[in-house]
Amino acid sequence: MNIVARDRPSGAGRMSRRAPWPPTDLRQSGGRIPLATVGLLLAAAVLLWALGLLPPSAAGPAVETRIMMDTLVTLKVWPGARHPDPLGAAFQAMDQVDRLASFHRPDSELTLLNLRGRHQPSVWFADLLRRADEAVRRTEGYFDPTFSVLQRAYGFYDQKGRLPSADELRECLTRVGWTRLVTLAPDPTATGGLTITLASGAQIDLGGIAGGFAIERAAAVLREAGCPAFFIDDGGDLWMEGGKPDGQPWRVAVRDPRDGGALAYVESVQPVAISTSGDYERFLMVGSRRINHIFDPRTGEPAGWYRSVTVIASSPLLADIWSTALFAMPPVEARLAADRENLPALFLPATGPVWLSAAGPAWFERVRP
Amino acid sequence: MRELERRFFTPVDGLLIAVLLVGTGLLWWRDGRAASHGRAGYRVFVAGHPERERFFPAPSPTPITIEGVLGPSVIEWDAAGRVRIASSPCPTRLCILTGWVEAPHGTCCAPNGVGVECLTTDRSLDGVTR
Repeated sequence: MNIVARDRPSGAGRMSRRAPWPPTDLRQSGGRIPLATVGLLLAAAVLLWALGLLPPSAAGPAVETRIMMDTLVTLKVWPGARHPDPLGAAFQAMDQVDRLASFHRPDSELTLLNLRGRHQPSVWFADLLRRADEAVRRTEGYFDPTFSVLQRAYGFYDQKGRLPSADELRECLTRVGWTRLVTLAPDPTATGGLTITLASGAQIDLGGIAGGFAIERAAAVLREAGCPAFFIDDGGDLWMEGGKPDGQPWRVAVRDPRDGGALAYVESVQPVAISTSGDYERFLMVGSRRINHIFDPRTGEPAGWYRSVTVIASSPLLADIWSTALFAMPPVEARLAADRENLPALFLPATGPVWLSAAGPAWFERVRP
Repeated sequence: MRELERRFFTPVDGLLIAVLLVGTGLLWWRDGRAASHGRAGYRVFVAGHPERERFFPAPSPTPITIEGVLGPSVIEWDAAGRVRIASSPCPTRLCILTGWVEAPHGTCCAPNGVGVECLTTDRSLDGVTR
């Protein structure tokens, strides 16, 4: 206060004759700052503190939720230095995948393929198709995008649930089977380097892999943006990467479909994907029977072994594919496949207690029986 | 009067206030997306219609209706603070079949563009796989 008192003469008129007030140049005030400016700076500091307007990297991540790909997608990102809007860019990347691979959008590449039966895919779509092809073979057909024929027969696309007759199912099964009905042929004239051809009557739905692919694209964008840590939640399919500023590990819960509580917890400090397939979010009711959207490839019936299967993997795509494939497998085969692939997996059977794959106990904590 | 104005509110003060206002606005804009991370409650929104967004710090005792792109969706809470979409004009009804959800879950009616986000200040859990 003394500083200001010395700095500011008591007579304003006298001051106006000697020097302008407030001084426009600190040299005119002897290098001192006016009281009003100090007060305002203090007020601003208090205001900023009160509003919690610290830099995002210190205050917390930027979080945004949007409706995309028929579900809620949440991105939690600690901003990076190389992109002004990493959240927007990541959402844009996911939207691009939806534009390519949506079964319902009339303008998607997938819709064009299903309509025409033959297509020269773009670079990203070709990549997605190649990885779907690899997934079908690696899961021995338990993951198969041609199951869309069965989904249609049970009424998943018009939401008029019904039980097809045995004859109908037999006919449907002639139009199911990626390795028989889908041909990916190298094509140097196509931007994606291949042409895909569907056999007559076949259709594919990439819903079991497009989500994981979209997460991978978004993660690539956030990585490129220099984001030190980020968490992607695509309708419950999760990807976490980087170290949180507070040093805490990523921590997620596995939903228990029996009561909505936590079936188990997972903690990780390394990049990891977690995906769950269940019968409790995407299903139809036909009378009192619950029809879920994943099918047994041998019978064409909805797979009914489990309430949910949760898989931890090194990539979102793998987690997405394997949670679907294991859900369709009988328990003996599922256990063998999970152990062969060294996948931590948690199985909640339709009846009976929870069980884990061989790699599961190292990852799943506080597992409910 | 002019001398009084100069004493209490000078052009430099005005400039500083303007800078502070702009700066605060920019910080709000930048951190707006993070704001939800720091508060608990329920964000009800319609994709593409930010003016329809509503925030509920606590469960609404009565169901609320929000106009989506196809028509009205009804959202309701239970005594435990769980929330669900009770009705919606979508053809799939998946949103209704999903049932009750709670933080840090959310639910949506994708065809109608209506979403409900359950926000929590509990940072011990990053997410839920389901």
